[in-house]
Amino acid sequence: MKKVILYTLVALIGLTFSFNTVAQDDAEAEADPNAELLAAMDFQRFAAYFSQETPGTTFTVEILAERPDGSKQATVQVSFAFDPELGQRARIDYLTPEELAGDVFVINGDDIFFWNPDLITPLKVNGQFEVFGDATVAEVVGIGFQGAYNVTERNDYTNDDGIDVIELNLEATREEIAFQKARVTANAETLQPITLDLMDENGDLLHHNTFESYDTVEDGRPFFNRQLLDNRVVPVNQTLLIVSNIVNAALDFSIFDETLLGA
Amino acid sequence: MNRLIQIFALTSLVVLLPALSVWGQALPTDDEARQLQLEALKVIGLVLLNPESTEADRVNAITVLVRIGERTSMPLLTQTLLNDPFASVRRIVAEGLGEYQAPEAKFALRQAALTAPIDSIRWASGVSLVQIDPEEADILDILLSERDTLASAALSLQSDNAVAEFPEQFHELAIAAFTDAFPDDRTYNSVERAAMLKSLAELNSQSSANLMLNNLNDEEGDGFVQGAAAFSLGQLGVLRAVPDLIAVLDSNDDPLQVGAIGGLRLLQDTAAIEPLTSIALQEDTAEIRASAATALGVFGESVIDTLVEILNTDVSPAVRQAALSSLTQIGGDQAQQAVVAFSTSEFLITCDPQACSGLALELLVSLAAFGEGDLAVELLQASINALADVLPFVFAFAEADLINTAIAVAKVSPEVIDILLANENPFVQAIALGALPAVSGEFARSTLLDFVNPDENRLLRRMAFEGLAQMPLAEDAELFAAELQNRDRRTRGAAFNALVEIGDVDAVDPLLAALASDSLAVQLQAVEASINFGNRVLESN
Repeated sequence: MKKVILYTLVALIGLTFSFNTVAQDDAEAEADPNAELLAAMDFQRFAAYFSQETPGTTFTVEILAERPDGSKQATVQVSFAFDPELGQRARIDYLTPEELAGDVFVINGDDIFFWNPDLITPLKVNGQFEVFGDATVAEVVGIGFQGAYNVTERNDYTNDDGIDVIELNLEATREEIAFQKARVTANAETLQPITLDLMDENGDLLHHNTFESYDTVEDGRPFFNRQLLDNRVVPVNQTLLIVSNIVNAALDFSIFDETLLGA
Repeated sequence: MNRLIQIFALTSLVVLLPALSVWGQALPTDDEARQLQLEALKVIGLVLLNPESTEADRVNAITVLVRIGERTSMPLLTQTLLNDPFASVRRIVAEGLGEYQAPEAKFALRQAALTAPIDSIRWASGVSLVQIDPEEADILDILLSERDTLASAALSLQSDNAVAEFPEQFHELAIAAFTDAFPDDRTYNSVERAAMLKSLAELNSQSSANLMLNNLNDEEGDGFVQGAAAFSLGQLGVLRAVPDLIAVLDSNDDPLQVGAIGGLRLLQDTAAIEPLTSIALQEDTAEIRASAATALGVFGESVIDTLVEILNTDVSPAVRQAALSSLTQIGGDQAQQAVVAFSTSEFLITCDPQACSGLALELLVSLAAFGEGDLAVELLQASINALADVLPFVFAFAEADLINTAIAVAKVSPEVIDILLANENPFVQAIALGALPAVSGEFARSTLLDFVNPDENRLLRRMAFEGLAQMPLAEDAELFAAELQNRDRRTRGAAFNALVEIGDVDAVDPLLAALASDSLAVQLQAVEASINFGNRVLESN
């Protein structure tokens, strides 16, 4: 039961801004095997972000943008909060490099705003907007499946590393979802996602993500801590995301108000 | 002789006048300056010792503290390194402590290098430790023997800045570790292995050339890692690699191709001209054609025809932009004629303004470089009109490019500043105000002062204050002091910088008030300004 509640929390504070579509109860989640599978995959990647006791979370993402002929690094802090009346909110704060410190994304439902201290007013952007390197807003905040995607096809096989995997082809439930199609492969035993292909509405591959390693917080809730992003549109770049410092804490909801940016 | 004396006297006056106008003020006493600095350090301490401070606030505070370089703050720095709840904060201390050369930091650095949960902090602490005391070299042996810290070392030492801070006597140690670890593609991912090769190049490891060549020619190799090998061979100046680099240009593996093109650009061997030309004209991927067009720029006049063809025919504005940049780099009459002809063609008129904004700016810079001022002004006006709808967005992400372009054009056609200022769009006016100090120097003052009125557009006020802060006079001190708590960070920043430059005793009270502000952002700017202000006063008294 505790796990199911956490599944629901993961979906509710829904990482691909899928809040409106996932007001399902435990029984419904358990009745739909695909929804349960998607929820379990979300749980494996994001459970540490959510706690039943606190409605907010922050974590740090180190982003390394690599090319054969160069390299650059940034650190961002991601914050989530959920309010029963106001819904879900997310925010990305750049911490380093110093020239980007102070830049902010605020994610309010389907609306994403970018602001930096040089701007007079925030700019509205979409989920495919790049935060750093090739890592998009959606990928840095996290791409949740439950409620955001429907399963269109399932394949079970053993991959090249000898691991039994479940492969799911996914289609977005709403056009506002940043990536309209996706394909996830997960360890059939643990349900930890191994790879995640993100595609446009035509099925053209945009990004190939590999979840390289997982960890747990003190009470055993899991999260992925290394994600390698391979850009297939400009296949010259690779971006490594390292997640650390997950803190469940109550957050001041005003930090998610785009109208207060720069105030 | 009299004439010489007159010239000398006039020259001295011109040189001394600005100096007198800046430093002819009443300075605070040493005690006042020290008190101000003490108040500033207190602000940092309160932020870092307050468990409620956010990660962003702590990062800002520690960045200021590390940059200030106050040895008296060492206890706070070491405590932050070991105990701050946020890794990003601890990493900034770990990276910055080495430059302090403070033996009292050694214990904390060693502790962090051995036990910090984040690998990049462990590596940064180890480097800072051996910067302070090379006798602590065993720490590097430990860090380079572990998988995760070795990977962090490789990712760090890709940058020339990191290599510059890594003591030279330990370069061979890192080279040996990377060379041993590199073949293990089960343990290290492609980004980490590529980083090892790029680090070996940054460390100028000539002995690694064979390792890179073998990897480059490995048919089973990872394209991304091979691309790094190719680029690194160029960085190391391995001329015997040219045939192998040319051979992999046809690999159809994008990262490998980009790495090889970059390597050939660095090696500048003319044998590469023909294959690079072929890639620049025929390759499917625009990114790779653009890389090849950029690489051709190092080969001078012999490639002008190719670059002109790309400029006039490529389907991608980004590739045309690369060709244009190379033509500007090469210079000469033939390149100039081609650029002028392109500027009068239909392409930019019909191109989507967003897709072609980079090309348009590059063309303006190019026309200015060739002294084609009239054409540049005409094109600048047309570009700004075309970009009118998206100018706020372009301005947000390319402000510096826009202003530098305006400066380049104004240097050959100064009237462009007046044309831009007469435009009704504040973003266009802002470009002019941003360019004005670099174009007109002290003569920009009167125009800038027209825009400091509190009722003026916020963006234009900001540009005006930033311009005035580049030429601060004592008479402006009151004007700047009133802006120290402005809502706009850049306007405040300009005001703080100007007051530090002016160095007047009347700046002390406004600085103290800013240190006590309710806004942490204001306080942190005030901290840095107060420390710098104090240092200047203490050096002058």
